[in-house]
Amino acid sequence: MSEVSRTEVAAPQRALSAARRGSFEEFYTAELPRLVALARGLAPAHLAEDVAQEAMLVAYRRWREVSELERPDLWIRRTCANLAVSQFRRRLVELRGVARLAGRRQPAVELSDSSEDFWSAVRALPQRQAQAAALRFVYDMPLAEIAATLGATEGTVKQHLSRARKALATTLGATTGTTTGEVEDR
Amino acid sequence: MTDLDTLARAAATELLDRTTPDVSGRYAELRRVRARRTAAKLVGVVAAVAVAAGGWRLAAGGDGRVEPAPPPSGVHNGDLIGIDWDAPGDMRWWTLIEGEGPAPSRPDDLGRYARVRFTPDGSSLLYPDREGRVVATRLRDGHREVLADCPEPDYCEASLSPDGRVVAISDHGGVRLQRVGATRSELLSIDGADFTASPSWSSDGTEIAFSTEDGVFVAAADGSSVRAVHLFAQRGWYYVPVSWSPDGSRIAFFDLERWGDKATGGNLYRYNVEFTAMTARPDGSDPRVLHRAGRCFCTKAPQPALAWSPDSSLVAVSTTLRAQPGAYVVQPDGTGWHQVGSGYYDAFAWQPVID
Repeated sequence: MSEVSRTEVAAPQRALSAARRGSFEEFYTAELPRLVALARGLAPAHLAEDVAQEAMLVAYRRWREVSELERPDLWIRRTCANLAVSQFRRRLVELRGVARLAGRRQPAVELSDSSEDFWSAVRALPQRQAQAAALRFVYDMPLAEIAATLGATEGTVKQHLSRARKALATTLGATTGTTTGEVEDR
Repeated sequence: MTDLDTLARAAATELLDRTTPDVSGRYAELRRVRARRTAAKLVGVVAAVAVAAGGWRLAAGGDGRVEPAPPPSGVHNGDLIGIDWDAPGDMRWWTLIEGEGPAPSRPDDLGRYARVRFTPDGSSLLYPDREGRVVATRLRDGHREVLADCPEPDYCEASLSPDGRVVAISDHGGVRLQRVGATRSELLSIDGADFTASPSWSSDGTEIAFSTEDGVFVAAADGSSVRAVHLFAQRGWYYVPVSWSPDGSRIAFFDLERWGDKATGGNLYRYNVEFTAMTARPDGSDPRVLHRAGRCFCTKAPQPALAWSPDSSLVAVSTTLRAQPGAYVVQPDGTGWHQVGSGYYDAFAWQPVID
């Protein structure tokens, strides 16, 4: 947590404002939809909501510390991204989800074949590449924010994204727009 | 050829447009889950305090060493029990498969997905309960003691050392060891292990076998070494059961092979795993295939189980084969396979009877 706790990224966001007001409920409301989308990009469809919810539970339990962070929104995205790519943690989420099956379950988000193919290709990437790519695509994040979220340097993230783009282009039969698949900052 | 950025934008836009969680409903659920987990934790703390304050000790004390098990010649096979996978509701109920039972008292508070073991003297059953604690229930009179808290309440497996003094428990990053009656525990850290499952002590108490997503391993109980007994061809999804023979000569486990996982629509997603029961020497040599044990197909399906007979002459194996689900016994070299019970079992325990 400390690795992302003191970033110099300063762009104000809804979630940040909510956090500074100290309300977990507002933070939850602002962050959950896109967090579910992030989880949906990185984990099997039926687990997306539960993965995002599990990440929020961690934030809820530690809200006193999390709300003090410069960017709680980056922290929750990192927690969710880590949860989504860890097989074991996903399994635990699933066990808890199965335990709740008797209760209400919302149907998984269904996508068109082309979108499903795209996100399946993202999920097939090595974990860090998949996380970097999902943060880029879901949140349209600049390199600095992805780096702050993942606790990596911008150079490392750039390399992850570059490799991810090449692999995705190969898998999906697409062009990268550049000959090297290099990543431009936004 | 389409540009990757165009594909990505379209996929992200569709994903965001279609992701519309019920935020207020989910928030209410989050508060309920948080309250429930807090309550469960408090119950665990109260129980630990009760034990520390003078409760019964299974075999507390000692100087930190683990003593060997009784020699196999003095041990006979008692009851073989299986945990019914398809018991109604939340019940985790056990069935006598072979032996003289029924035992006067059988626990009814087994945790979800719990695997069970008899204590080395055969008097009690060791299992994780529904509150995420490792419990020993004495079969003679139902006397029940909490031995430790599960580090991961949703997936907990435990094994008692041959001298009954130390509980080895599955945990993140290694195997957790807790002396019976103590309130503190230590992590036997295993490099590279996300999680360890199904810890099983060697008969001399010097080593512990366990499984991870990568395979089956043996670690020295003092943390001085770790070696692989068997590696899966692919990283697994399930944590397979591991059982060290009471005479110490072999380790039984399941090999697993992952086939393509399938989305089935709606909320279900199939994890298509094929299990093969095997034994090998503790150094991984002389691997023997006992039997194919079937596939595990969906989010809520039985995993096959196995357990050694106390005299080390047989291995009990459950299968999930649709045509012939049930309990079987087989000799450690794979010969003599025969059925001893029908139905689906996801855990076995075989009671030792000591002269």
